[in-house]
Amino acid sequence: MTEKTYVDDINRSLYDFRYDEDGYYKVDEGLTPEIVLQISAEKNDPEWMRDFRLHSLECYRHLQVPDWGPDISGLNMDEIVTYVRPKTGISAKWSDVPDEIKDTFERLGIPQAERESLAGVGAQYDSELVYHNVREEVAAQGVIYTDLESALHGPYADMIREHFMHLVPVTDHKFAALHGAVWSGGSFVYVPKNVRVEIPLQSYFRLNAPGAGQFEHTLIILDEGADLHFIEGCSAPKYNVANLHAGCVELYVGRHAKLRYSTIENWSKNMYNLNTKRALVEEGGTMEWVSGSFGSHVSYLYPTTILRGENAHMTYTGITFAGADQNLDTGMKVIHATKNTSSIINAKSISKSGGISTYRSAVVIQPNAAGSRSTANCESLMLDDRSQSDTIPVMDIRTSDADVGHEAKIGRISDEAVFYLMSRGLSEEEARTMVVSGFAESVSKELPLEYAVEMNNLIRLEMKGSIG
Amino acid sequence: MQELSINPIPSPTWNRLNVNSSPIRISDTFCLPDRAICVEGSLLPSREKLNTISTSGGTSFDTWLETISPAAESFTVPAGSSALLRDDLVADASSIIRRVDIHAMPGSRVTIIVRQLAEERSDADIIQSYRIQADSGSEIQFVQIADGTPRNRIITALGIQAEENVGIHAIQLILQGSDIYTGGRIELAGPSSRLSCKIAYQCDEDQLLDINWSVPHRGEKTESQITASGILRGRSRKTFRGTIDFRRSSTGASGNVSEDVLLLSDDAQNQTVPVILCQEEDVAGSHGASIGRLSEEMLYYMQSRGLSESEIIQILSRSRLASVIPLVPDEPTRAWLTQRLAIDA
Repeated sequence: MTEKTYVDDINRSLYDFRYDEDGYYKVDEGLTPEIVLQISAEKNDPEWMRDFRLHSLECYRHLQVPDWGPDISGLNMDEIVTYVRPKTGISAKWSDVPDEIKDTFERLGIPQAERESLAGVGAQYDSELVYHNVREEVAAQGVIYTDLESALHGPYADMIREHFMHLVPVTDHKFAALHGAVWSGGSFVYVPKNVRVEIPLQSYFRLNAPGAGQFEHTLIILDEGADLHFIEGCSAPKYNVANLHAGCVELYVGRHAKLRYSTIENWSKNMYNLNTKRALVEEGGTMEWVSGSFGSHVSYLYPTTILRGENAHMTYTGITFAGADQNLDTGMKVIHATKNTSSIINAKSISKSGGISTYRSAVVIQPNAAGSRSTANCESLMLDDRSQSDTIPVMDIRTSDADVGHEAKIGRISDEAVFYLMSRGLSEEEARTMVVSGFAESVSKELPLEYAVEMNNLIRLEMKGSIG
Repeated sequence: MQELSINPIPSPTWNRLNVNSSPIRISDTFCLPDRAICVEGSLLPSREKLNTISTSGGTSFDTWLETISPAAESFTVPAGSSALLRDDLVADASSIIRRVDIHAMPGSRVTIIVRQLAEERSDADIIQSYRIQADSGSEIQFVQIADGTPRNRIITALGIQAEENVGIHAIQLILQGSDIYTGGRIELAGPSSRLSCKIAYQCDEDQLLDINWSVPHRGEKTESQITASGILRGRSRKTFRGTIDFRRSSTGASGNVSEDVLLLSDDAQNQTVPVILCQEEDVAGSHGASIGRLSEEMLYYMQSRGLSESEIIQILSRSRLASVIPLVPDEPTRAWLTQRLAIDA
């Protein structure tokens, strides 16, 4: 009989540090019209946004908690603080950011990354952006990268009103409605016609306050022929109380534009990550999702793409690594809404130490989407017999002129591969780590180098102590 | 009339996709079938009720069935013996219902041939449930042929509990009916039990086909293989759910679900839901699906042989169904099927 190998829990000390929040402004715990109005006043919302928040709260009250995914009964909204403002305003210089916040982002490597490889950075701490900057040469191309609240009052106010929560209506699900009511922070990006942003923009979200929620809204609009790579990172220290992340990402990809949206999600294991991401792609446009999910206690995360224009294309490359105390329900949805659209899906998941990983997907080809094609490949790796890995794909095809393929498999690390590597002088831990890194390679190679390194570091941390 | 949900998947997904189960409205008035089950070999009447076995119809359907038709026909196949059941259900004006419980004792072999047929003008429902306790070393062969009128609704629920080293071979041929609900829930509880299942279907006009297979693997080294292949024409709608469920302790198990769907109409709708649930490390599970139209190369090749497009479609449709006929373990049924498909052609 094969000897079982058990894998130790992750050492997250890299991300698990915190600072006191003396002097920070907070609303009361829970969710009431008064709290929503308080947030609206704090944000200096235009009238329509204040009304929108109240309408969202009404929707939230009427919508049900999902009955099909991981258990979220441990999340009590009466105990969540929906708005925490650090005692600083937004700055365009790291030197102006308060020391403890600057130290946080320095430990996470954000200023260094900005210097070396980014066209612009937004850094959110709890409910507010504390830093936002974009390189001069990028701004000179007409690229707008700013915090959403400022944009609501600036020359792009009408554009935001036209797009804000139109792709993800607040009636979509309960946590979209929650987001609509209490959203705060996040970024607005507009890339003008035919402008190609050569190096990525990045937003980093850090949730420091215990028992708080983070509800940032990211709105990106690419005009015709534009090209952008946007990177999103997130982390938090671990507390004994539940934290909540219910952000929303809306991406509008214009005709023949191309957007790559990369995420390395590394929330702490007390986090409920109920995030909503959606893209609308026009004729000839391309949407590329690259997603690494490593953190959170519970995740519901399914980036959705609507291929609305002819010859629009989507790729999804994702990996999920579920360890102890984690139930990560991730995947994607794509709706082929018109002719000759195409999608390619490549999903991987790894489960260990009692973690639960679920890949959930929907490929919908609508009646008028003749000539559409979709291929999906899904692989799951089980690292022990205490964990769980589920694959729940749905294909809904409503035209004869379609070509849809789906393959999935599940298994464990092959003993032969580990034996072979050990015979070449590697320890068992090194051999298993190498096999897992190889399994994840198709995702890591899609990331910028420094994020691929971070992902491989996370895998190495997860695999540490894996000698059985 | 009663509203029920039928054919649930074990692990639900987004409700708006409408695949978690299917709603049906059903009358509470049913007759028992005129024709008795025809038996060859050793099959003894029994009073044993197999209420602990769940079927593919799901809990609410099983409960409703128990209420509406409390008396199942129960049989025992003695240890080491063989039996063949021919169960012809022919719908006429009245809806009919039949529930059968079979206990296959150790080392026994039982073949069940179910034909669901209808008189020409019938628009009645046929409801059928089979629950089978398969003891160690037994062999179960189950064949379902659904061939009603375009107005019949046919509902079949199958549940098998398989102990050690049981072999199960299932064949489902879906030819005609208005709304057809079928499937199987095969619990591979004992080590080294095996399931092979072949499903072939053709759907046309406004036909609805709703298939739900689920295979909980509990025993070590259990194996399952489910293969579905079919053609959708007209405004037909088909949902195929196939779940391989590796439970803890199913060490060394393997399972595969695959479906190949040919769409021949822009008005047809296809939903494919191949699910793998896994709580065990040492297993090998896979699924695959291929959905699309006839390849242009194939069409061109066959047209170059002098065939028209409608002839090509007829041949392809027939060949998918005909490929299953040699697997049917009963000569008279094979002959009947060959003749039946020839009429269709």
